[in-house]
Amino acid sequence: MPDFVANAVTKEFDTPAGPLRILDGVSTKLDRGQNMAVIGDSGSGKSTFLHIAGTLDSPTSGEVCLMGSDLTELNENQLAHFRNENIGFIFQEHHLLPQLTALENVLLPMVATGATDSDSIQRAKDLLDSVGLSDRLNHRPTALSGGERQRVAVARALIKEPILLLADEPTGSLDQVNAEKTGQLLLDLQRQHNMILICVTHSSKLASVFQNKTRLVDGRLAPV
Amino acid sequence: MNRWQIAIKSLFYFRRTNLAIALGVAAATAVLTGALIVGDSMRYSLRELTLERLGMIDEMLLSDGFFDQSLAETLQETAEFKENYKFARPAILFPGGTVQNATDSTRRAGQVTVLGISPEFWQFEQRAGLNRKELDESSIIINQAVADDLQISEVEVESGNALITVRIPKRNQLPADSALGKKNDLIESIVDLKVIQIVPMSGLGRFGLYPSQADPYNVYVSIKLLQDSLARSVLRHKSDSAQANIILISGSGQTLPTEIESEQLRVSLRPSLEDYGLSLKRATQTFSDGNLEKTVFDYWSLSSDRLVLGEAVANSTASAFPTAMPIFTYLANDIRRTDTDSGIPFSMIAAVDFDNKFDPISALTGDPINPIKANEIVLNQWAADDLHVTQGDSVVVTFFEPETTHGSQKEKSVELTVADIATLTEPDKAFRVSRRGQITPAEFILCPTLANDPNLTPEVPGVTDAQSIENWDLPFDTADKIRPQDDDYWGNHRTTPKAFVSLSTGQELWDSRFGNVTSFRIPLSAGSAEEVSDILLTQFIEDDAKLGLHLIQIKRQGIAASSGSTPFDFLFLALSMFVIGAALILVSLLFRLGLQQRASELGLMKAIGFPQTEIRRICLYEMASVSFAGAILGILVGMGYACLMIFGLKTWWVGAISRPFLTTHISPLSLGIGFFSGLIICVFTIAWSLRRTRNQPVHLLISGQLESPGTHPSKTRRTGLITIGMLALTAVGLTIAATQLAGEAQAGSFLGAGFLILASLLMWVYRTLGKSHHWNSSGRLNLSVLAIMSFQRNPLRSTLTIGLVAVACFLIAAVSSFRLTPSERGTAGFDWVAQSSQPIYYDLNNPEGQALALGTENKLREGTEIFALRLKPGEDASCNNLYQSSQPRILGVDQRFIDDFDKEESGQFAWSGSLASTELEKQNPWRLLDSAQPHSGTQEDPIPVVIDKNTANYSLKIYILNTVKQIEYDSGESIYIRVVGFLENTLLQGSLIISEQDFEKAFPTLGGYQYFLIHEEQGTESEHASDIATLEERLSDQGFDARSAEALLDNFMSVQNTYISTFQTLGSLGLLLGTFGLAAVQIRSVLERKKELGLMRAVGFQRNTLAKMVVLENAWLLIIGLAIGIFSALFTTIPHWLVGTASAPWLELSLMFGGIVAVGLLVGFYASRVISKTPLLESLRA
Repeated sequence: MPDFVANAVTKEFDTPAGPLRILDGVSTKLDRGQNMAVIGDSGSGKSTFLHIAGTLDSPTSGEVCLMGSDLTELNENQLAHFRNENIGFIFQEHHLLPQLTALENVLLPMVATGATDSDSIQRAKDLLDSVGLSDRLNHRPTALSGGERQRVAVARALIKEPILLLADEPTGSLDQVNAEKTGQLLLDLQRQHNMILICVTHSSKLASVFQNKTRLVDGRLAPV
Repeated sequence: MNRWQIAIKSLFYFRRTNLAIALGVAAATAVLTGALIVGDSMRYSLRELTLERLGMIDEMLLSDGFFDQSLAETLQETAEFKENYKFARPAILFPGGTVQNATDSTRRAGQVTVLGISPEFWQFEQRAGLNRKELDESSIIINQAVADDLQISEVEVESGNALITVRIPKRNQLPADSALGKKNDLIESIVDLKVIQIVPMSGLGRFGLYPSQADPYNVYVSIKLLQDSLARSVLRHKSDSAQANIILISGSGQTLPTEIESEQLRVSLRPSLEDYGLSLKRATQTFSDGNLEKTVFDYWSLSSDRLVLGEAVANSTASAFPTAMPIFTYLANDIRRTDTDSGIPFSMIAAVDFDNKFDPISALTGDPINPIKANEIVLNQWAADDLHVTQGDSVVVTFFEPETTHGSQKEKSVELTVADIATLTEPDKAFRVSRRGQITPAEFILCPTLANDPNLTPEVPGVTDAQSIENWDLPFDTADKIRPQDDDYWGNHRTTPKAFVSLSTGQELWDSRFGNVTSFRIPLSAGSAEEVSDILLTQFIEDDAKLGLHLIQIKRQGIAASSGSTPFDFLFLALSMFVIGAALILVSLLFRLGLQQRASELGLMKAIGFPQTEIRRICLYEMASVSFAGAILGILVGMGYACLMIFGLKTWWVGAISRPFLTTHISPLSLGIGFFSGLIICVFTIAWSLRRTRNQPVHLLISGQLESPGTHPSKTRRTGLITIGMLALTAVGLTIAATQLAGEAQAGSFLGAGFLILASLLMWVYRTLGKSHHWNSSGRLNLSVLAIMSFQRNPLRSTLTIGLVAVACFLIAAVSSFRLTPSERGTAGFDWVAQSSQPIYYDLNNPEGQALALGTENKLREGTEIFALRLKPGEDASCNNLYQSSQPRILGVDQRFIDDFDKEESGQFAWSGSLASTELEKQNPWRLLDSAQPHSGTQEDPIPVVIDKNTANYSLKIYILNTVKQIEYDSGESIYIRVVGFLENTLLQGSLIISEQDFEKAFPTLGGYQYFLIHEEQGTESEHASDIATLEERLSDQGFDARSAEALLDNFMSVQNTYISTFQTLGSLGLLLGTFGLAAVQIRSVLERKKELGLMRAVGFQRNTLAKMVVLENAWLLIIGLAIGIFSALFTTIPHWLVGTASAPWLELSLMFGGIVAVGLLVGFYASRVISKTPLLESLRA
């Protein structure tokens, strides 16, 4: 069985006019070391798919499995634990905690299951070093540029060595130079850590460097 | 890094929001702490007042009569005293005195405590260095309250021109309610006493028996002055006039003597028989016939200075001396042959048991007289001769009934058969009475008999020591009936009974609540006088006999009463509840606003795997720290808030506590409770607010949405509509039902209906705000619509804000429904209420009684109806007394009073509830006091009592009908009462009301009437006032003082009305707090929409236009809140106003609401300035 499986995933939303189907039987399979870009028009359901893949939202029907576990069958606390251990997120808005330093932001996922230790701190520093921010460890988000913030977010996504790395428009709020750097960094890290990377993007340029390119049309994934 | 570190970093990073939350927590904590401090201060001040009033007086020996003042010294010599007590001083205390300015008789005061003291009295003052002038027998010291009432100034005192007359009760030896008791001349006036000092209302200037925060009226005279004044009346029968009626006792330590120590002292107290008002006299008659000396009788006679021995004395004597012979001697008005109209006037008849073994009376035959039957009588030889009767003839004995009501004596007759005739020896020389009252016995040539015993009649000063029967000092005329031979008999035999009946017959005929034995014949063989006394006194202790000497722990009782009738901490907590509620809503609003700002942070934490509980924990760590800081600040502010409340109670709301005696007292415990309560409820409020976010999907949180936009599925919409409809219908139903209720139940129902309407309107608002798409279907946009749409963005937040304003307006306005105004049912149609310091024995309701009491030339107008009630003095248990009452005042209502409420034309008191079961009782619940036989007042047979509901609830802690409660008085009486009816807001507040027959049974020694309800059928107000002036003038010696019934009721009601004002003021404070909450919401809302507002400016909106929009938003929230609150309040008050007694202060309320609108709009302007100050680009980048 592939490491990541999305099988016939559908998602409907209640509206005053009746149910609105955003995803209509999305299916895909990926193994560790593989990556996939999902492109599509605004409102096509890209982010919804990513949220379901990352257990941030539940599907109306269908199943999502990671490493053989059916994620649709886990309760809220089990999901939180599973996410913490196996899934890394990178959002278009970096969502760094303004009250924490760059290093602390990277360490944040460690606190979800306990406190940080010297190993995790060293690992966070290494990660920040690997994204080129070794001299920004104690800077707060307000003291960082947009690209730097996003790299901190990338480092945070990797601190727990996830199996699945999900990126939602990771370069959407960055300028071209930073967007390219960040895109490349993501792919390098994915290979380096042997993760599955699913990236939702508007950018054809970013999508073009991914192994698998898919488009979300009419609620279904189609290879590009 | 750990959770705490994240929480602490967040705490400082979001310091502005957290500061606002902390301020909200501080407000809630401050109000909580403040209320507790008010309660502390109340208890502390009441306790301080008790300690002030009593100084170093810890205990007090209180007597019904007088005892030798050397008892204080004897007491000090006991080992028990030396061990635990410091000193004891005798004094005389009259709680019911009156004083009058000697230069202006219209300036007078009743209910004055007159204290006869020695200079050592002032040693009981706790403060040293007080300069108290020494009293002599023509001077007096008065306290400031008396000086104010009599308008005596310090200047007059210093110039020596202040003279006053003091009147004190001159209690007759015989109870005034007994047939022989005097009904008038019971007041001793001590005239023209020079006031030498006015003592302030502090220390012993406040001395009083009963705890009350009201200023007592006290005057202090030399004990010698009172002793001399009473020497010819009350103290006439005492062997020495150096008498006292109280001993003030100081404990030796810093702490109060314990109950065990007090009990040890009580047991060590050895008063003499005379101190108990008893007399042990050797009655002896010897006859010398040449060389032979014969003893006719020789025994100890125990009698009481009150004529009749009390039940306790009689029982103990019978136990101590089983062979003692009880005797009950009574005065017969007439003994005649059945076939004649008159016979022998005013004869003593002794009821004795002829079967007693010692010294039987002998008949003419010389044989002992055998026991006689119930319908038989034995006449002495003189009486038989006078009436010309022999054995077997019938005689009629006429006598006064032993008890009188309203001063009128009723005669009663009984026909008896002459069973035998007792031998009586005529003396050779009659008795002789010297001018000083010394009696020399008669001398006999022939041997006297046992029937020649004048000692069978106890001594009655003014009667038994009179020269002639004509001089008898009795409340009825004797002179016109006296024949020459009667005076001869008096000269020869004095009080020697002319007839004898069996003891059981005598007790059946003349038994009264005062007792049924006048003396005991104790055989001489019982021992010497000292031995007999000792045996008796020991028996009294063994029997724990209540003989009128009571050692009371006056300070301990006072301190216990300081716990207060009203728990002011809870009261102020309740009154401040809205402020607390407003603060909590504010905390919730501010927290949610802060949370809103950090929604994406919460989402991110969820996304990266923080379980909900962990996120919650981190938030709570942070908020607990914020609350901790807020609570610390809160207790500091709370102290200030308490000071403000206490200032309010001493000034604006002084009506609630009668006089401004409060001082602030802060106890660490209250601060602790306030701190932790504030902390816990705020953390709980925050946890509740946080809980609402738990179901929000992570991706929505990440995008900054704390709550999903309100979508109401059709089912929820229907349920909501049904709920709103049900609430409104219930409100209407409750309003209709309330029109059938009365009093507080009615006000409560109207309030409940208004609250339901308020809830339904708020639900409707929430529902309507959720249906955003319906608002602007026309597509037209203007600033107002934009403003409304803005607060539609967050329906819950907007509804909370509107609700805050609405609830405050509603409560402030609607609580006016509970404002009380004097009503017909509060006074039952009575126009005046009067109380006298001393009992009045005549019936003021009939012309004869009025003539006796007021003089023949003074009559009250036709149609003036006076109901006289008996009074057991006690603590004022009305809401005017803040002390917890344990010995409340009791009123006794007679049958006429009860029957009067059967009449349809009579006014009726308002009843809150009663145990009435029969139709008659339901029509007139006073019938519940009516019973064939008096109740014994034991737990098995408690006395039915009617009480005002407020008195029962607050002062006596009685909440339900049929409650049985024991009440113990310092004067020794202990009764059980059973509540059969609650009156509601009537002028009878503060007293327990029982029937007269139960009153007489429970308090047999209390005679006369001291409480009067007066109804004027017709006439003008000036005519009414003239009647009252006549009563007050003619009965000024008795301290008769009348007040308008309506004014008295208004005074009682002012307490509740003051609480309502307090609630309204505090409610306004809460509303003000709510307005600040509104400001916070508004400013946050503007900040949240910075980007959107920036965009509006970018597309051409002017700053002023946007500012106007923000002001409009604020105004809308305010206006909707006010409208809902006022509408609901009107829903409550208008029907209540139409059918009940609501009287809302519309002007004050309008001003209050106007003020709130003004503050609210100012807040809106302030929020709009945020827009004006923010640069356009910054707004767009936000």
